[in-house]
Amino acid sequence: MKKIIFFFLTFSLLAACDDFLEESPPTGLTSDKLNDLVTMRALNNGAYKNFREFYAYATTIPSLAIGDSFMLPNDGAGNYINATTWATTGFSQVLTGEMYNSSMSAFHNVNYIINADITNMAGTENEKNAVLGDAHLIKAVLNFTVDKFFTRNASGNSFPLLNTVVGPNEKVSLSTSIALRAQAETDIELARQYLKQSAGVNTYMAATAFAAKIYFFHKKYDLAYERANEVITSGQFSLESDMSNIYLNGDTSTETILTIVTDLTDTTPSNWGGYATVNFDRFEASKSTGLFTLNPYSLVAQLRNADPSDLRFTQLFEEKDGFVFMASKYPTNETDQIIVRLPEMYLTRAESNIMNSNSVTSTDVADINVVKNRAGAADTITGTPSASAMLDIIYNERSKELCFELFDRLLNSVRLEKDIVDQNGSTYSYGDYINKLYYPFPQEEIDYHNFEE
Amino acid sequence: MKYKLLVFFILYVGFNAFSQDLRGTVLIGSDPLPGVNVINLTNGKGTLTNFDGNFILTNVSQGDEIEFSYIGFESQKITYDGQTNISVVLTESSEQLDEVYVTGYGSQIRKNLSSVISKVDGDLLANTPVPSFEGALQGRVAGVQITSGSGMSGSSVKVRIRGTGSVLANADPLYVIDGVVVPSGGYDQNSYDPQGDNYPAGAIAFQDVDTNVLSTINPNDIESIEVLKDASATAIYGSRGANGVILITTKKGSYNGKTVVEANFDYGISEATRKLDLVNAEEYLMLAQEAWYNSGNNPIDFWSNSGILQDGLTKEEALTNNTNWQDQGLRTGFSNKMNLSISGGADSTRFFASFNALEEESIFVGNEYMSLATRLNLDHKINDKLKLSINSSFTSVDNSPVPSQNGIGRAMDMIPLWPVYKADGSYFYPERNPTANLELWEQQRLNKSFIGNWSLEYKFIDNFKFITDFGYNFVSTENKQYRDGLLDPTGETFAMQRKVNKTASTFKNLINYTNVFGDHNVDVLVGIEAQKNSYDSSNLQGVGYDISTIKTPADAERINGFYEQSSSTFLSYFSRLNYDYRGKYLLSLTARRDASSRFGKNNQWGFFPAASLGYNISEESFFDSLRPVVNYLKFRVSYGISGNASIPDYAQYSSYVANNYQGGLGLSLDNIGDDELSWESTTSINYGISFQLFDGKVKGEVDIYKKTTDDLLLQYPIAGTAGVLGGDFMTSNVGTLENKGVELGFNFDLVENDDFYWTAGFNVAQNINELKSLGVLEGIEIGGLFGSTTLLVGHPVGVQNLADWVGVDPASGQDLWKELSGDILTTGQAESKYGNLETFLNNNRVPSGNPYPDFTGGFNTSVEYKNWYGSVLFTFEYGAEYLAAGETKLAKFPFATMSNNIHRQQLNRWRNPGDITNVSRLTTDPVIWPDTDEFVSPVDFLRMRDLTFGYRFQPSSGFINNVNLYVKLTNYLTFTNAKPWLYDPENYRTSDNTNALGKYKSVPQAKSINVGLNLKF
Repeated sequence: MKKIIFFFLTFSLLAACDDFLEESPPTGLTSDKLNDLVTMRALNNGAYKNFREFYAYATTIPSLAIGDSFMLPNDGAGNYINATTWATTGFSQVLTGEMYNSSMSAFHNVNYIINADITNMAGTENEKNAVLGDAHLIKAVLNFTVDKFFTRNASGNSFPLLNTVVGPNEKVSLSTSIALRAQAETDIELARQYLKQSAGVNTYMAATAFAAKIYFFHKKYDLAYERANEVITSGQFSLESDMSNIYLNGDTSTETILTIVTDLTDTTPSNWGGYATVNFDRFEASKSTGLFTLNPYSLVAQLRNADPSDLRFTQLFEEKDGFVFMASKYPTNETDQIIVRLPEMYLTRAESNIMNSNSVTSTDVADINVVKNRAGAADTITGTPSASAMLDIIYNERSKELCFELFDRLLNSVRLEKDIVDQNGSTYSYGDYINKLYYPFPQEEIDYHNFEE
Repeated sequence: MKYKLLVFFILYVGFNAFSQDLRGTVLIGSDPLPGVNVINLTNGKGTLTNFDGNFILTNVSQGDEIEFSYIGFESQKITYDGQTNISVVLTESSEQLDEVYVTGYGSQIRKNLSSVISKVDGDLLANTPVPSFEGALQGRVAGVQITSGSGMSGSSVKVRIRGTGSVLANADPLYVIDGVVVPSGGYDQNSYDPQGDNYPAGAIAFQDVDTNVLSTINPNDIESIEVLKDASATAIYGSRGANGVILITTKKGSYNGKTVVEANFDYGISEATRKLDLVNAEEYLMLAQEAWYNSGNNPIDFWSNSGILQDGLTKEEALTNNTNWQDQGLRTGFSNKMNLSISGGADSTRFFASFNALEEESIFVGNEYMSLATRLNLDHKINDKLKLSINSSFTSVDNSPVPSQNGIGRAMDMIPLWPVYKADGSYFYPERNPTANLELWEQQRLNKSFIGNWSLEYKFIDNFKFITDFGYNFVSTENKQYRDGLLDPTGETFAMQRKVNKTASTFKNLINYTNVFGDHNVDVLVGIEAQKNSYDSSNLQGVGYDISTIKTPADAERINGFYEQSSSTFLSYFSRLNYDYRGKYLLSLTARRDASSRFGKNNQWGFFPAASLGYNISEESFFDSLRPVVNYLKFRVSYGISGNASIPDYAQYSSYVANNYQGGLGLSLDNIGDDELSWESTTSINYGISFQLFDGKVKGEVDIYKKTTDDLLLQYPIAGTAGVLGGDFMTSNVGTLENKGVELGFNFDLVENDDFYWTAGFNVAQNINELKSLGVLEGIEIGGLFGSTTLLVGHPVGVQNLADWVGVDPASGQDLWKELSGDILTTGQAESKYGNLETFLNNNRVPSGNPYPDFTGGFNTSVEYKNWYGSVLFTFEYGAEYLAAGETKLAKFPFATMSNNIHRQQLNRWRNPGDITNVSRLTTDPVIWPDTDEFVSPVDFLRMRDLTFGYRFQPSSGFINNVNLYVKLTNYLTFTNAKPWLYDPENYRTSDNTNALGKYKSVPQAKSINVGLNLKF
């Protein structure tokens, strides 16, 4: 009997205790550890990283939609997207997932930061200002962009307004373009306020430059003028003489102000590995690998035909096999994504001033000539044209300068209610396309949240 | 004092006068039989016969009942009446009801089993040429579906016992080798990641190949395999037994047996079971030009504008080529295998040691495989109470695998008009060229695995046994790759060096009590078990090399490093009661409580009970009159609950993954955890009968079962607004999955006499898999690497939403499609109505495809005539389907890019109004990517899995005791209705249940002829 008791006691002692069942992830971070400035900064960096995916197709799709480019039929995979029908059919849901999902990941991060108790975290005031400044800048860029792509012109409804971290089982509703715009403006001013105290990943001037963009496309031209003017007069930026250097140097170019940097050290799995692959190589001058080629009927092509010696064409475009490719704007797939650069500030300042006052000043003319002269354009402005004539000049100049750079041509054409033209030369008026050219929401999101568009 | 001494002396003498020693010999026929149990049933004392069959049983008194028993033989009893030396002859039992079956943590004889366990003898697996021993189980066990991956050396094998019981959690059965749980899957794979790890961080490219860990188990070492199928059998493994358990027992040697040395030499050649029927150059050119013309292009521009001339090729050069690209990726395979084993023992020790070497070049060009394996099993009785057991094995594999994205997988990426090499000797179009890919993409996997088990058994008191057992399993792989920049569109050269280590250690302590109370037999087991699994992987990727002789990541222009680590633990308390009354009424009760670190703190524990009842009605006295016909009949019923925790180790945690931005640490939300996450539980009920007729000439088992899995662990969709990077899913417990079916198995001893034996067997099983609920949803789309999979209530797991292709319109030659409304539209009509065909296809999908066979089974027969013997095994599956990978769609639309090979069936294309065909009019239209059911193929098959014939004899003199010469044919006949674009009806590339319908590239299986020689010394 004693033996039996002895063995059962021994046996029970050989059992493991509950500590044995505690296993937490050795790599990565669990949410309970996001409680200091280091992790807050990391959340900002994570959100910046998301931008490469967020903007992955924000160059190609708008250029197709506006008719600046068309896709060659033979892309090596047999795919052929007849983009010119988007003006009549609208965008396919297939195209929108990247921007929608990446934005949600970035919104999660910045809302986490903004709603965290930063004040009581250990660190200097400068460090805290930097963290909050970047978070608000990112949020402003997000809200501005999703407003531009997801707003339904007919109803005014748009992307959800997200100011807090959304739980996995939470439902949200669509917001309005008005609300998103207001939020973008609030956030960019907060970004400026914080980054003025201390630079973070990005600077006060970067926030100010993006503020100029926001107000410009929100048609608040007085504020757009102020912000653009502040950037120009700061003297922190200068134009490159060789335009191809802008894209080769990317973030380190003297004229880039706000950039999403391609981090070659980033090896985190993203889609098919590493930093997001955004298919910039599809701009290559190759009939077999290049995909996007200049639409000969487009405004940009006409401007090129009118002044073929303009450096913006000779240094950045390449003609091959009967097609024109924008090869030097995207020399490699690792090119940094330029969001704002100095010429845009000149163009914005000039146009904003004219829109405000309905008149043209010599400074306005000088602003545009700065851009023209750098590019060696043959049609430098002399004298002081009328406001309407000047606005036409600026529209053309902006088209030449910022074509195939993110979505400026699309936003600008919509802002000014310009026509678009397809690869066959057919024209679509603003009224034709404005209720078509918006991104649909992913169907599963519509179903889950019961979005009413 | 003197008086006391006298009394003592009288008593002592008297006692010894009545207690004597019984000596004797036990024989079979005239041959001595060692190891026979000789038990004095009166006083419980016992002994064993020695090598010469002799025994000495002490303290035997007049009238004591002595029993002689040995497995496979009829027991005998005698009553001692003073004999001093006896001779006992045992006869073989024809009933085989005393055959011992290994159960979880113990064993039982077949007659007393009330749960569902099937056994396969190791002899049937020996010398098998299939990549892994599990493959040799195909067709032998009812209800077990075995699917071989491919003819690649060491390729994976999918095993499903009674259907797929899970969606997200791993549905593989639990493998236990000599008591040690061994993870299944690939060396490079994190076993509990159901998506596999085919594209880890830093990988050069997606690759769907790995070396199967279980392929390193030497089949010649296996004594027996028991397949535990119902809850009562698997409940003792509780948490991990929900998908069934496969117990592998390796050979152990024998006590009192002489040393036996066995040597086996095997040589084999193999070929692909089938090659695709592709067009030749002339046929391709004809079809291509027809497509070009049909699309309104000028025939004159064909050579200049169609894209058919790539990489500098001229028309004149193209017209001289007729390349068979399949031949670039396939070859005749060769294998050499040598196996050496030594086994034996003495009174208190037995041992088994083996060494196995395999060298193989499979049918896939570039696949070279070498494996060295060794095993040592040792049992030693330290004394009457203490026994030590050690089982250990070590395997080293050097494998150069060829994934389906390389080699033969690229045969469809090239056309017959293109050459392998250009005129200057360089590779033509190296990015797509299979030969270039095989020669410029070096791959080597060095795999090592160790399985060890140390056990101490102590009979600390009568009827009680204490067992302490430590098991350890270590698997490591080193994956080295170098891919030349010629193969990459960017021109970059990549190298990778990846190391993966996986360990599993188990510590268990058991107390076993067995006793006989009159007619009541009781066996009680209680135990505690703790298990820890660990995984870590390091990956170094190098990009950019200027010098071709430098190939390691450390020497690259850019170096990227990745690291992953995870671990999990299990803690279990369990108990089992086996009871039988006179071997007639059987009862088994199991209770188990398990906890896993994978679940939330409040939900770590699960309780898994099981019970089974058996009634050996043939033991009843009223059955005597039936016994000449039905010598054995047993009714069985079992019920139980088992659990599954095979999910990623940290699924319950909301976690952020690190990344970089401008050299600074970045974080992105990677997983949203459900802190309510808990066990997936499977409730099983089984009704069965086991019977034997005509004195065991006919044996059969019939079982009907239902398994219901609740609280399915699956990726439940959450809103994208939650912000998870790369996916809107959260692992949660939701939904119910059901498997139900019937199994029949029969064996026949048709002829049995001195010179001629003839046996046959047949088994068939039907399993129906159905998703019964998904919470509040009717369906879930789960994204995957090759498109999404839909889980739909009322359908099997793995079914796909596909557009309904109806055929080809005889009037126009366009494809015909069925709308959801039921209308049939041509391609043109669909485009007109929906804007484009892809939109139509995406909006008119219906659940399609049957991922699982309705019926599986096999039949076998074997004959022996004097020294000659032969056997054949046929296996079959009926009802399953397979969805083609993207390459097959490219073969339907090859002329948009003029760069994909074509199946010969395209020659039957539509050409004129009125043509009746299933191949639409050829054009240069681009590929239509959305899946349609045109690319769903039945994969029914009847396959001659094994045909063996041989000759064995005992040489009359010399040191060789037994010689066995054999020829074995494997997979040599296959009858199938699989569509011509499939290499083989058996395709398996992933354990991911959501892609059960396929969508991976099809690659060939191998058929082989092996000749071999077995020698026993």
